Amino acid sequence: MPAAGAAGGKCRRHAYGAPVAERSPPADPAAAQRRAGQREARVASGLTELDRWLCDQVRQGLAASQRSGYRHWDDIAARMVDAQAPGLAERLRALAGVPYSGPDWDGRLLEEYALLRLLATACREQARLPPSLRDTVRSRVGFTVRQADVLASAAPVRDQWHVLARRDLDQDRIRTRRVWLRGRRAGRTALVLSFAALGQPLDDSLAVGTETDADLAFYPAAVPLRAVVATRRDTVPSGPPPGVTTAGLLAGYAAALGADPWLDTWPAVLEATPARAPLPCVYDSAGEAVPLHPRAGDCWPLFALSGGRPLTVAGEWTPRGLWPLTAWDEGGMVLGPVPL
Amino acid sequence: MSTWQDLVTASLIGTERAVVPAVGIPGPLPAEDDGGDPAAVLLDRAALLTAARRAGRRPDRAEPLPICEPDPRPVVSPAASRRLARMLGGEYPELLTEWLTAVTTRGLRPPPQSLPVLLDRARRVRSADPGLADLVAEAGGPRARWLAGLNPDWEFVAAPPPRALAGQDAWRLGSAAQRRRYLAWLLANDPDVARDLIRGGWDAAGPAERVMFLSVLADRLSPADEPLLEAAGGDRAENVRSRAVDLLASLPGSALGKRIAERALGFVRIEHGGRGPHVLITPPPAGQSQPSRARIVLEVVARTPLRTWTEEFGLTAAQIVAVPSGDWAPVLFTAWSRAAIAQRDHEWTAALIGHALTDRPPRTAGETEALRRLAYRADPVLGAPDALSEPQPEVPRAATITLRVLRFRYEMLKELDGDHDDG
Repeated sequence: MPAAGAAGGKCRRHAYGAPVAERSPPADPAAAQRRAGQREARVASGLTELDRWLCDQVRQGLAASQRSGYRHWDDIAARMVDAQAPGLAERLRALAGVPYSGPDWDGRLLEEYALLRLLATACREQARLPPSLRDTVRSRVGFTVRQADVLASAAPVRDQWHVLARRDLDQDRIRTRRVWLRGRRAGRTALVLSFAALGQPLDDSLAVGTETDADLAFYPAAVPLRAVVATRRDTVPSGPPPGVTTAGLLAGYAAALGADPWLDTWPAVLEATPARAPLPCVYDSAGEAVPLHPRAGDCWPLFALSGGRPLTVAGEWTPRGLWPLTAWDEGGMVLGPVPL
Repeated sequence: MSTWQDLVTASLIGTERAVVPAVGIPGPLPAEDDGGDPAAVLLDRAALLTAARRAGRRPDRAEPLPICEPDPRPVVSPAASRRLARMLGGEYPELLTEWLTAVTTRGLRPPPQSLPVLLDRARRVRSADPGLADLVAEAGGPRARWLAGLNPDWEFVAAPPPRALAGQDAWRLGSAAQRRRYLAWLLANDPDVARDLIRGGWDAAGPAERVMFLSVLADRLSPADEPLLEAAGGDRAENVRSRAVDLLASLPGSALGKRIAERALGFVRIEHGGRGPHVLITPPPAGQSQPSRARIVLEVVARTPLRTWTEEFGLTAAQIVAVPSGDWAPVLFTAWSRAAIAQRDHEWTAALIGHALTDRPPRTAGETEALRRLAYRADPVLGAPDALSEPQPEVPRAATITLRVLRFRYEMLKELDGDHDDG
């Protein structure tokens, strides 16, 4: 468990609202309630400030943003940290790279500003939201749910969980591991996160290409993806998971967006063949394609594995394209979880 | 999509100067936009359109790639694939050539997903190590050529394979690697013609090619090569000279070998004193502009045919290496190691490694380097469990590294002889 507040006293949290360190239950319920009330008030004033800032950006024009450097976003992100809204802070910090992210950066920046204002608005109006959407909004703003509470309150879901893909991300001094699972029987997808300080090993217990009989407890959300392993039983090696078509992937993502418009990382398992033109992409048996994420690299190993033939490809679907993480060829060979 | 682009344009200019465009989205719009602040209105409309555009995304079209012709060779086992990944990740990368050679001679192929890294590596070291490119092309087979069709960086494997350039064409038109391959083939099948080709081409060839000629000859050295090697021993280029002298030394009965042996025996002897045998060295005195005495001993012993010692002393390599030689031990070890590598003598290689691991660990930098080289050139069977006795716990790192290299090579080759993936 990494030290809380490793980054200069700022407690950084993942976009999914993952706590870096979870506090133990309060000793004094009255004091805890008072602190919670103070935090709500702080976040509320932070939301007002963010809303004003966002409108200022659009009033002055986003063209100015490209010249302003990453301090521009770091400053407002730091104010969101002060307002105890780390989820917002992290989203804002990530925006510094957008003006350098290639063609259509302006459109992507506008999308992010628009979704941030939507999040701020939704959080201010959270009393009017259905409970599951309220959970999603609060988690994205940065209110965390303790793992112990999830384990205590969520009904565990037992299945034979197939480990589809794994992705490690380094942020500041924290490494985050995202492991995507899919239940063989019910077909439900789950995301298990683990964290470590840089240089420390990450949890290796869920290996790509295996499946585990386990009970998962899902964090409350409009689209419940994040889960914690409550009970683990046997783990066995496993072949490729069943994949869907391009249309199936896009339909699944559209349905999920209907419940959570901020969802920008969605598990994908496709039966598809990689191609290089007009842009690097994968296409299904109907010839329908989705692009590979421009920042996923050249993906040569994926092409080399395919040789022009279909693969099963698991990865993360995002608005910019598919980030491939694992691939199986007809012989069942696994490629990944290293970057493809 | 023009509506979205209009919103982006307005946001770039800023709502201070631009009018917020209306958006056409099916479904209900927000009743009244946020107090009329145009910036807020623009953001709300953008949020709506963002969700609609993401959810309503249509599939693209792709231009399919050609389908790669199948490769009938089985892929190496998962364990061998993992070892390859380790080597490509920086663990004993010097062994890649040995691994690939072993893979192709066993009729196997590397896992296809490793080809991009292999191709990149072969391209990077191409000028220093042209053989690796040929080896990757051969091991990669049709899949490597298919990839080369997609990435011009790798077109060196897309060229017709060396054997397709028939005979004289490969020799006249081929790359350095193709010429080398042709020459090696010719030497195996028609040695007289091959030797004529070398003799005829010698004067016009550059130093790199003259070294190539010699290293091809090294695989099938014959007494017939002596005149050529004698001439090469006086070559303008130092690396040609030293290679030629090494070959002459390992050529049984060569005049140069005999001359060097005589010289060496003039100052290296085994004495049988009261405390058992020991090596006695009485080097010629070093002159003013002459190399040091140690240098002379090193150069001469390194080029002395190794059988000189076994024949003269009537002992095995292991017995000779074990005879104490006092302060001369590091010089002798380094010199014999060089000779064992240049003359490809496995008995001496094994004796020297065994000696360094158990009797007298390397002390000087020269010895350490000599031992390292032996580990890469030794018969990998020395890496088998129990082939060498476990080194003493206090042996220096150089000795343990040697053992690790040998173990790695042994396991690497054993793995390829075991099970492999079908398909």
